[in-house]
Amino acid sequence: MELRSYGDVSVVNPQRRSLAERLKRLRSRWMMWMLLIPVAGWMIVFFAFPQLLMLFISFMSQGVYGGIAYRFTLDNYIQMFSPVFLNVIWTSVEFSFVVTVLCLAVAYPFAYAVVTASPRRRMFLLFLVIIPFWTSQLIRTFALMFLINTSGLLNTLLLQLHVISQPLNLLYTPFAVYLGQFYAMLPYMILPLYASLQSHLESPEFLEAAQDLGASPAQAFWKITLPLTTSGIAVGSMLVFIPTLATFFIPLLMGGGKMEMVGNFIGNQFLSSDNWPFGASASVGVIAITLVLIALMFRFMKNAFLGES
Amino acid sequence: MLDPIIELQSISKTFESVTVVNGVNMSIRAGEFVTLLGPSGSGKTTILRMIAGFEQPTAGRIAISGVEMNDVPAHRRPVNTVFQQYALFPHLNVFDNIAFGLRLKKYPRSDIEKRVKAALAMVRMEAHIQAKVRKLSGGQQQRVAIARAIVNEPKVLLLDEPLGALDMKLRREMQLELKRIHRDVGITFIYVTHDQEEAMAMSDRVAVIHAGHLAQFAPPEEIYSQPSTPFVAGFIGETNLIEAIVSDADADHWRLSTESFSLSVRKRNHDIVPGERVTLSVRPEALRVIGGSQAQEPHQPIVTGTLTERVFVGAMVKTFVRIGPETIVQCLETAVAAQGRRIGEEVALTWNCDHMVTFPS
Ligand SMILES: Nc1ncnc2c1ncn2[C@@H]1O[C@H](COP(=O)(O)OP(=O)(O)O)[C@@H](O)[C@H]1O
Ligand SMILES: [Mg+2]
Repeated sequence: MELRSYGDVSVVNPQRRSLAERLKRLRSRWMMWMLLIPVAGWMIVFFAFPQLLMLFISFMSQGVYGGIAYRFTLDNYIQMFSPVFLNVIWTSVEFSFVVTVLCLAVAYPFAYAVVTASPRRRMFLLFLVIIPFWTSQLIRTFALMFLINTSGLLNTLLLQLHVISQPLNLLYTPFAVYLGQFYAMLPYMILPLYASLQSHLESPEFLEAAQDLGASPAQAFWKITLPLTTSGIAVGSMLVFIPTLATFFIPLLMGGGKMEMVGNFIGNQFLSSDNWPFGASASVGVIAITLVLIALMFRFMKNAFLGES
Repeated sequence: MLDPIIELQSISKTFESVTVVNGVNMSIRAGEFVTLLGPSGSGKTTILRMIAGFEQPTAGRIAISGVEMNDVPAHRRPVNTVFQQYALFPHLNVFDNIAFGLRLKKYPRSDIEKRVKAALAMVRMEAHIQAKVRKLSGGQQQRVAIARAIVNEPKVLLLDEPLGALDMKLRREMQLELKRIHRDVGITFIYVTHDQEEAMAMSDRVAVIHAGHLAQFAPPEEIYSQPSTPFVAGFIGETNLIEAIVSDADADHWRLSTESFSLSVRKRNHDIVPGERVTLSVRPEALRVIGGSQAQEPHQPIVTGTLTERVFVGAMVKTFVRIGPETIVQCLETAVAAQGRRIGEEVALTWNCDHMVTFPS
């Protein structure tokens, strides 16, 4: 952005651009490329190349004894429309949707409370949200498993307090998978909502204008605060929905393999079924779905922001 | 005499031990155009926000149409505000912004459309009914903000420096527009500005706010000709403030002495006794520069001094005259009258004492 606006300024009077100015422009261009090279190199080697490889493999055939046979085919894409695979996709989309809504329902009030808290409390609450980022998600999942398994902390406590007489079977159920995923994703929903609510409530002019026009606090929330924090909702939802769609080890660990998401399905193609080409086409499919969702989200946000009715 | 539509009874506001509004009393009549005028930070916005209900007074009482408002939340008060930064809702278009208040009041659909169109016609923005507010210019947003407020037919319209963000030409234009709208809708306007010219041009009455106090509340002519304090005299237009001491008094005159001259003025209702210090205020335009031989009205003071500086301001000339070691006064003359005068020249000044105000110190 900086570089571009610098360019625009110079264009105003192209004839009279001095040598020093030209050199400066040249150097800033050169600097820009130098800064881009490491990142671009990284992305090419570790992102673009594997993706292209995956795309390539997705058009190859499965070898007789597993592995890849280098023969072009569309079979892997046709196979994606098999009921088995569609079913897995549907389970994943539904799961991701529910997890996103749950996160939103919990994160929004929480973020609101954080923004309106006194500065000291706010620091403390934000700290609680940020702590999980310092620990591996795998370790946190194990900790959660330890909390809810039959001899875990929760059951022991409830038994001791005589709330229950039999330990609750929580682990290795769909409930555990929902809980695990929700717990893992919650901070990703809270932070964008926090940022968006923070900037909205920082300048209370829109809320005051709404009140001035007769809106009660509740009406002002629904008609002003909620629409004006759509960007936070959209970003948070994307940050939760997309990783959840591709979730892998949480269903594996907390669901005991009983709940198969598309992530597990793809993993199995590579790890146990030894069907790399189908695994590849399935991941291309998931990427396509994700891209469509991102595009829809941007379109929605753009509409929400330019006030089209 | 109509009952006041707004009554402020010794309202005060203290933010964390700083008192920014201090015992303001005001009574505003229905249909009046009242301006709160004061320098930046004097507490004008705070007064307006207390009327709108966004701030609670620390002390005092606010009544609208005789109904006490202190415990009424902002959304139930019969007033609407035009905010300084407009505060148009960015996610709604022009129509939806203006319809916002009407929809909350559950007006029927067709009625809403009719009223929104009428309000837009009032501010001459009919063509932009479906426009996105972000795409409007500052002046157009200003008009939409006014329409959004007046469409609700409030008893009182509050305007907080509504023209502050506009350039000079647009400002002048909108001042006239606002006057017209005020005449057309006939509702009470309470207008905040720090621009004294704007206040004098637009208002029925001006409330001069000085450091949280109401310094004077009167029609523009009276604020100009009979300012209540030296601050008001200096803030409205320009003035010469001259320190003096009451040297003598008889039945209906005071004798006042300054470092360079003394004069006798007719007594006003102030309770001033000999020996007391006073401040005199004479407007530059009330001072007349005369040559030594020119005829002089009887009973008018005459003071001599040295011309130290001349500055052209349009068709007028501002002449600075040193009349004492500590005192330089400025006079405003037409360029024609000032012709031929040179810096360093000895001149005499005279003025009509009816146009001079005496303040007890
Ligand atoms: N919410 C607030 N908290 C603390 N001080 C405030 C607050 N609002 C206004 N003030 C202070 O009150 C004084 C008057 O402010 P304001 O009413 O906005 O003045 P004006 O509108 O005349 O410029 C200023 O010194 C301002 O800093
Ligand atoms: Mg202000």
